[in-house]
Amino acid sequence: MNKNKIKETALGGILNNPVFVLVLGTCPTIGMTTNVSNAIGLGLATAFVLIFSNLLISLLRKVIPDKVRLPSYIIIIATFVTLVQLFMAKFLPALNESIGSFIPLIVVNCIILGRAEAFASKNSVGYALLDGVSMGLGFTVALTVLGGVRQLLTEAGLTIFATPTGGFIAFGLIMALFNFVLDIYKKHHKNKVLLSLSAKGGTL
Amino acid sequence: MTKTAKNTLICILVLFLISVISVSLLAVANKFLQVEISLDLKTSKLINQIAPTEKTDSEAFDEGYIKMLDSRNTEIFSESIDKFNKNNKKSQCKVLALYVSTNAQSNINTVIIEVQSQGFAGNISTLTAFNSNCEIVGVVVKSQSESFWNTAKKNLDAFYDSMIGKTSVTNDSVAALTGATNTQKGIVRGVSFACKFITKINFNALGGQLTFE
Repeated sequence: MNKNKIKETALGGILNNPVFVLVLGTCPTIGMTTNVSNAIGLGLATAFVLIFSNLLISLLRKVIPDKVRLPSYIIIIATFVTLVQLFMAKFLPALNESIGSFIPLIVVNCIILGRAEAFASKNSVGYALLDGVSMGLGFTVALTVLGGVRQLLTEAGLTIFATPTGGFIAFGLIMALFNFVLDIYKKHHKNKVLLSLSAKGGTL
Repeated sequence: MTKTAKNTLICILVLFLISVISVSLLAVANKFLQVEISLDLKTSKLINQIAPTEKTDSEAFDEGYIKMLDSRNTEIFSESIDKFNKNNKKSQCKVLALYVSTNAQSNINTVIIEVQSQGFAGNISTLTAFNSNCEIVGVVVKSQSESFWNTAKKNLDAFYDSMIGKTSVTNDSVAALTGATNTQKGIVRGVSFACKFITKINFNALGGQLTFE
């Protein structure tokens, strides 16, 4: 296994964060981050579907013909979403009542289909699984941060943050901060690479 | 066979196999993850509203003034719930459970039927209470995911009250839920289904357990 590729895939959830960098899955992000418990619940449900659909699609990537790949992916993703729905209805009825209407929407969440098409269908099972875990955790953490900020601000008296308007404002501000910090990290990392190259006497 | 036909056949076969495996997996999961209907405090509180026990919600629940009837008892049910639901599949409704509420002061029992019906955006679960004459004495919605529920809530009390005393309901015979017509139809469908099922209850078989006014 390629160490660089493993590192790149594992850090994908941060460097290519689906919420703050790729801006995918915005509907559940704004709709279900009014409080932390809903955000974590939806994030983990999405992560579960992402991990297992990536795994299965990667396993079947050489079997599924190109012409029917999208319908096949949708069936596989919908199966896992239904499993999540059944599980939540049985074991987490309170959470199911809060976020139940957003669970079926996971099927059409761009993150799931996007990663299936762009990564899982072109890489081995190990990398696909790692990508699913990384992206799933990245999505969950992003939702949790946004949910936490919105809940804190709402409880502090700024009730606008409980509404979609406030959700978009919070989302935009956190996204700006996240990308600002990410830019600093990327510049620092680039400088580090340049320094190590010049120390070895190499050129670009 | 031509190459195109062969490729098409392979595509159909792969899709079919994936579908079969998915359906089988979900069928197995459904057996283990099926939600069993049971009497919980939330349902008990709602029943206490429409068929009062003259006790507080927690007392009514803890002391057994509100009970769930066993749907497998063929002496009480002249037609079992499963059979009734199967025979009435086209109605888009199904009976989920049967409860009994006992008034602590008068000792009068009221039968409550929980029905799931198709609403506008999903399923609506309704609780309908009946007296011994199979007349409606109370209606309340237990759960729903309707898009226009906030609009429907404005006329809900009048809507429920318009069903009291009736043995059957139609959309025309009840007060309107303005701005939520399909939600109204869903609830009426559920209550009407309960009115149909109450006639299948064999009150004589309940004997000492239940007495009616």
